[in-house]
Amino acid sequence: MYKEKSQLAADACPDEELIYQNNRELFYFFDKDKNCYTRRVAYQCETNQVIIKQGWDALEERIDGIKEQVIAGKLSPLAYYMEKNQMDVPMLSQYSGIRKWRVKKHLIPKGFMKLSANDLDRYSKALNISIEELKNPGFLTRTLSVERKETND
Amino acid sequence: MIKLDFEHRQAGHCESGVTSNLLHYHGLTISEPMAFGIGSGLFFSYLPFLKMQHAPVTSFRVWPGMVFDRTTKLLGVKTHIQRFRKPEEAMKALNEALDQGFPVGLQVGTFHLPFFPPEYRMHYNMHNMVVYGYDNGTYFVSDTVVEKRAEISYQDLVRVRFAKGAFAPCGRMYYPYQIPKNVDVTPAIIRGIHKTANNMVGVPFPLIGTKGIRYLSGQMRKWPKKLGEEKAAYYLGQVLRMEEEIGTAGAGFRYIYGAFLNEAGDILKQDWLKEVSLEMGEAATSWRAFSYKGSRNCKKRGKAEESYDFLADMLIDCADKEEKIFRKLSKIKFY
Repeated sequence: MYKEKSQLAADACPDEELIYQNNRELFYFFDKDKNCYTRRVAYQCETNQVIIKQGWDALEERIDGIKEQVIAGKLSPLAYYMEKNQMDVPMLSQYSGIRKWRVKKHLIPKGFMKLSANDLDRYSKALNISIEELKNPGFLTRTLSVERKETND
Repeated sequence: MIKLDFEHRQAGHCESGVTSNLLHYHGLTISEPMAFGIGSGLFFSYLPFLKMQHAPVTSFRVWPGMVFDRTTKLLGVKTHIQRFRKPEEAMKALNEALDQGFPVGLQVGTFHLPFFPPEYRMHYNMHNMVVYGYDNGTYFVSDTVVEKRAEISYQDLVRVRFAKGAFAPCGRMYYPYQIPKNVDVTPAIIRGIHKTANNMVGVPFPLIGTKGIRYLSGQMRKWPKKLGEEKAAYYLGQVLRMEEEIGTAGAGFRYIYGAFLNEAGDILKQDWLKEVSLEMGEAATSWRAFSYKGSRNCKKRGKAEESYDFLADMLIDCADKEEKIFRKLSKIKFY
C-alpha cells in the first residue's frame, strides 16, 4: 500500500553535501499532491545532519575546554576521559562501581594522585582504555608528568 | 549453533519495528505503523528538570517497552518479558530462548554497539534489536535501523545489555511465544487510538501532550534572553534531535502515526479516520517545517537566523493542529 518513490517534491531533501553517509534508514513521508503516505530508504537529509553535527560539535568544544583545564592542572585526566566518553559523574560511578563522592574527588589532580591500583583498574575497564593511557593522556606535556612524579614521591 | 530463519526488515522506529518483525516471524502479519498505533507510541512530553547531554529532555514517544507490551496485550499474544541482575543469567536465558526457537527482542544501550553508525553512538538506552541466533560466542543480530544483518560478540552484547545511565535496560529481553489462532485487530486499533488521544489531550498536566507543546513554545520565547544565543541554539538543537534523529521515521513519529490512521481507516471502514490521517499529514509537515527552520539556527555560531518567537509560533500552530486531531480521535466509538 506504500508507493516507493525516489523523489518527493514536498518533503524530500536533496542528497548533496551530506556529512554522514554510513547507513541508510527507512523514512515515512506524506505526499501532499496525492494525499497518501509513502516510505523510502535514504540517508538522513541535510537539515537533520546539521542538527546531529551540532551535538557532536558541542561535545568537542566541551572536551577541548576540559583538555585545557587538565593541562593547566585544574582537572585530572579522568575528567577528560569521562567527557570524551560522554559520561557524567553518576554514570561513571555506575559503570566503575565507585561511589559518586569518590568519583568527584578523583576528577581533580590531587585526588587522582591518590588512586589505588584497584581503582585505576576499575576506571580503565569502565572507560575501555589501558591504565597507562588513563595516567598519561597523549596531549599532556612532559613537564607536567615530571611534576606529578615529584608529588608522587 | 542456532540460526533462525528471521527476516530482516528495516523500520522507521526501532521498537515498533521489532514488535512487527517478531510477530511476523510467528505468522501474524502486522505492519510497522500498525504496531506503533496499537501500542499507542505517539506522545509528547517536555521535561525541563531532566537533563540529557546538558539540555532538557523532550520526548516524542512513550516509555521504552510500552509499545511491545500494549500491542501484544491488546492482540492477545502471550509474551515472556524479563529483566536481570546478573549478566551471566541474562545471557543464559537468552541462549535458552533461542534454543527453543524463539527470536528474542532486547533493549540495549547504543554507546557500545559496534555495528551502529558512529554519529548515533551516544548513551541512549532505549534502543531495541532482535537476536535470532548464536554460534560459538557470536550472536546474530537484526537491527531495524541498520541496513544489513549484523553480528556481535558475547562481551559486547553483555556490555550493551547492561548499559548504565537513565532508563538502564538491565538486560531486558522479550519475545512472543504463543499467538491466538484468529486475531481480530479491530478492538485493538480502537483502544490504541483512544489511549493515544487521551495521552495527548486528556492528561491535566502542563508538560504532557499538546499542553506540553504549548509550554515548550512559551519557554522557547524566553531562551535567547535567559540563556544567551549559543545555549539557546543548543537547546533548540536538542529538541530537534529528539524530533528528527534516530528512530522517529521523521517529524517525531507524526508521519508514521498518520500512516497508521490511514491503514486503520481501511480496516475499520471508517472514512473519517482517513480524513483525520490527512490532517495528521499536514501536522507532520508543519513539524518538518519547524525543524527545517530551526536547523538554520543550529548551523552557524553567533546570530540566529530565525527568531525564537517565530519558531515558537510554529510550535503553537503544530499544537493547534494536533489538538484538533486528537479531540476528534478521542470520540472514537467502542463496539
